[in-house]
Amino acid sequence: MNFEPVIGIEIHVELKTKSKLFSSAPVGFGEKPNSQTVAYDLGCPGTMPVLNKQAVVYGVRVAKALNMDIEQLVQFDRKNYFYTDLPKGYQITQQDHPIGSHGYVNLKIGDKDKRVNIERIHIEEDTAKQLHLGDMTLVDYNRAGTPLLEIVSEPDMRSDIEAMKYVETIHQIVTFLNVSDGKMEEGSMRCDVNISLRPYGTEKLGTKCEIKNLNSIANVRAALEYEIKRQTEMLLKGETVGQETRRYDESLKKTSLMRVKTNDVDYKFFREPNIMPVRISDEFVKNAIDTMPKLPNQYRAEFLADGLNDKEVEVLLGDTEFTHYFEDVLALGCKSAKTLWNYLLGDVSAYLNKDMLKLSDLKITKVQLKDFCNMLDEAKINSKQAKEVIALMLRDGADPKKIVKDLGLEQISDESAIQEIVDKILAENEQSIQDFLGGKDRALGYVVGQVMKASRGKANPALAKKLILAEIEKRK
Amino acid sequence: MIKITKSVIETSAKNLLFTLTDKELEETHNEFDAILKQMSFIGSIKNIDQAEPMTFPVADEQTIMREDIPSTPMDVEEELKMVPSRLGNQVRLPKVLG
Amino acid sequence: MNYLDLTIAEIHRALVENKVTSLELVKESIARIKNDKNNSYEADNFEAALKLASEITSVKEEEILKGIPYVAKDNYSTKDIETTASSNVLNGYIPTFNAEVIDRLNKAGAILVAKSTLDELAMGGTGLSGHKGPTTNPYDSERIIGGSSCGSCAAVAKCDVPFSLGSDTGDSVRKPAGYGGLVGFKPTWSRISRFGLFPFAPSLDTIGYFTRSIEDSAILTNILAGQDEKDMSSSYRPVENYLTYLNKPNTERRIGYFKSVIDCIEDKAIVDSFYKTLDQLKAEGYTVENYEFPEDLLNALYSVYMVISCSEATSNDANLDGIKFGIKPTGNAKTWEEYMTEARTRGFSDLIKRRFVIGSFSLLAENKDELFIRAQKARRLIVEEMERFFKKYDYLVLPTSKRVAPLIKDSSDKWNPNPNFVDNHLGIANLGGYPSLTLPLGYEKGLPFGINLTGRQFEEGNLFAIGEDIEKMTGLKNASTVTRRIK
Repeated sequence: MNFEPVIGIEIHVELKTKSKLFSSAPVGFGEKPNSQTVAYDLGCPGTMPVLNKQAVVYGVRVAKALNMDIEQLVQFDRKNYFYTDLPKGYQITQQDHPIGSHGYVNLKIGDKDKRVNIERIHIEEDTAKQLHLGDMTLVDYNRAGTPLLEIVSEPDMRSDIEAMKYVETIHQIVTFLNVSDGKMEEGSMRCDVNISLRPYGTEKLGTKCEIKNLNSIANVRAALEYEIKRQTEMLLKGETVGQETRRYDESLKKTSLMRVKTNDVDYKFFREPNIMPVRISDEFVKNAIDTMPKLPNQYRAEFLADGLNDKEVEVLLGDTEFTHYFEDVLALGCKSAKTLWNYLLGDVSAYLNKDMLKLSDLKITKVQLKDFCNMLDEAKINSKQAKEVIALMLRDGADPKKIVKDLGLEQISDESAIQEIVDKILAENEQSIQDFLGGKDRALGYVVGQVMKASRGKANPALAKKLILAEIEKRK
Repeated sequence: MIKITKSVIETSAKNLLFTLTDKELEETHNEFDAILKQMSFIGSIKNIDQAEPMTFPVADEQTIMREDIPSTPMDVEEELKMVPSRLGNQVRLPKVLG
Repeated sequence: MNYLDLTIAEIHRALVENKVTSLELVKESIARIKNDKNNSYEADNFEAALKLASEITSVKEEEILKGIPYVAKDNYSTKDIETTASSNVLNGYIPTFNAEVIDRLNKAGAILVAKSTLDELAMGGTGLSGHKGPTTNPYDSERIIGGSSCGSCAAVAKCDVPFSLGSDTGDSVRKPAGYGGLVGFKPTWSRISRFGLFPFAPSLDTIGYFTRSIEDSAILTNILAGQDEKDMSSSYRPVENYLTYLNKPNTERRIGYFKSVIDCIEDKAIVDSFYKTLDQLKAEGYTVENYEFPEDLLNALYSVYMVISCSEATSNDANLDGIKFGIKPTGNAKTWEEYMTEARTRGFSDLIKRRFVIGSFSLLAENKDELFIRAQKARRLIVEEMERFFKKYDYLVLPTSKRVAPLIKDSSDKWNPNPNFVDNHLGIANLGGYPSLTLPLGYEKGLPFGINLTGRQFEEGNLFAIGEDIEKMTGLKNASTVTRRIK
């Protein structure tokens, strides 16, 4: 490839406050149209913005997570334009004084580190939702006024993979901080990607194309992969890349023109005169940060220290619910993080996925899962028995200790008891001993199997094997 | 600063989503000479460019914000009673593109 | 004499003593409103008012507004009562909520009988631009009563009610009060909640009211002042009992005036009356001195006010698009732009459109620094100069206007090609957020003229104190078209 992609990303995150940014109407999703509004959301004359404290708290937390300078004099500006989804004819946003500035995230791509700088984050109001039908458009004001956090990166990314990782990282941070659902497919996280190409080694930026309406992280990467190819081909042919806004078509796997970008619209920004500067104190900031949920990086460090490997950690961090559940079970006294991981992301996950259930639908308690894992680690049951136990636990919500007791599944780890069985089996299987001594290793497995069968599967298989070998040694 | 031509005024009106009649356009254009002349008085104030712009007449800073407690929303019927054109529970407009 | 011709305090006394009932007052008020010859009113609230009044059987001593009728400028949101801001773009708009001040007055037992006319969207100073046509002066119907709070002023000047709500962004209560011979008061910016007041220029807009006595103004301020959680800009400073500033010697006694402004007044009666009053104040122990306010600042007052107010207004009125409420569409529009354009073209008068063009022009990226930002800088300098003034003096005292109410045919809301600072000094109180009070000074050929007092931020009480002193000197307490005849 002769050209270097230069990629910047703007992410809008819907904040999951209970009420809207400047009005007290409830924030919801999928409610009946126009049932979640108050007069302010329709732009009724005489209504006034009253700032939601929680939105500011969330803004501070995200700024901290992104290593940003926090602006403690909170101010807003008006962005003036006309559109049918903008009830006041202006949007209240933070143009001049964003709540966070000069931040960054560190991405890990393979074994390489990549730092992406973040220019700013600011708080603003969302617009109403429109439904375009045949010859008319319908407007639903439920969404109007929902708080948004806009995160603007520097154009630091140089590949579709880096862009994807960046979006993943932001997604992880906002979901772990619990400031947003971060669901791109529902619109609670929206990405606009800007990409231009330039010859390697040059400084001057090429013409920028904007790609909008990406509804998944995978599509962010796919759209950029296509776009890089498209622009490269054009430039190689000597064609000029037009300044455009494009959309990604998932089924065709290509980007297509939405509209040509005209000269920048003049939004006539000026300070919002109904909101005097709000000073948030050092104490306010400290409190917001002290009470914020753990960030992915903190979990990473903890889980690695607990004994999980990188891959296992990333799988877990891919889902905040699983992460918190995992953390809770460990905290209850689960001895092995590895064992817990294996069963949580193995049998439990499979069970949930079968019927599209969530962790909250589990019939078992965290204590019960902890007990289960510990029983396994303490060799009270073996792995074959464990499979049986966990299946019953999940199906019936039954207590593992009770299941093991009722079914008589306690693993026999008493040496003398196993020795007795070993002696008996060896006495009945003279040929196997000879076969093993003759070099047939499989004979050992057969004998162990016989011991397991005789004990109805309860014998500690490792111990049985040890005793058998010891006996065979004696008969050499 | 741009020169005030009728075309500039027309564009302004278009961006503000209303139309001016020829008479209104003429009157606005005539007014603008007086307007610009007086706006230049602002420019002649001593030390004008050293001053900090003032938005709010009262210097008090706010520290108090609203608690995140949702209120009861407007009744849908009450809300849509105000609306000039509706379809079901939604506000109705001619087709919007883009 | 009818009880409706008295002040709030006097009417209240009569209600307490059962000399008159609220129902009698409201019926009389409604009759007068129906007989209005000055085009002062928009929607009425007669049915509800009569019902409320009929339910009042007694008024206690401390229920100072209970049972008393009033009128509100039609830019105050009133639940279930059509509110148009005298603009066609809001025809048919029926709000679902009350402005905070309406709620407070209603809670105090006052009875809203009607909404009054204004210059369209409060953007005018003549009272001629409302969608129902000109509102005329009850003292002389060939003359204006001023604006933008024209209807509210007329209502109180002719005793249809003893008080009314107006709003003051550049002088819209205090100037008409001068032309109407009334007490017109606006408190400090942020002292009273603006929730529910249709915004013209939020950084300048202030709730204001017309009464016929200083005491009445203090009574209303007691009830209306104070923080409102629905208005983030409303002040948390504690509210005083402003009546305690009356009927006792005024401790703040330093008066300043601008001779350069008074020298622009050609009307000898006004100038003489003004200086005579200053002499009387001196005799009462006030110090009175001229202050040289820089002329370059005075010359810029009009433009600074116009640029800031038109720019903010253009943005505030962008919600008036015919989609959510207001003017009904014709059904001809095929695109959303046509839809909105039709509503706004039909709904706004040409005066308003011109103001919006000016505002929009001032905010364009290529002009913003030179026009809008510069105006905001000039505001800073004007206020800094006033702060210097207020270090030496407690009050700025000036004639309200250079003349009595002009004839309608000589008046217009066009951009003034030759503004004179005597026409615009009242705007200083908006630029600086200062409390300011107009009260009647005298009459010339039967037409009233007023005197204006401006004080430091949050010193409303002191203004009432000096206002009371002047009111005693002029003897013009409870001046109206009714009492003047009697006099």
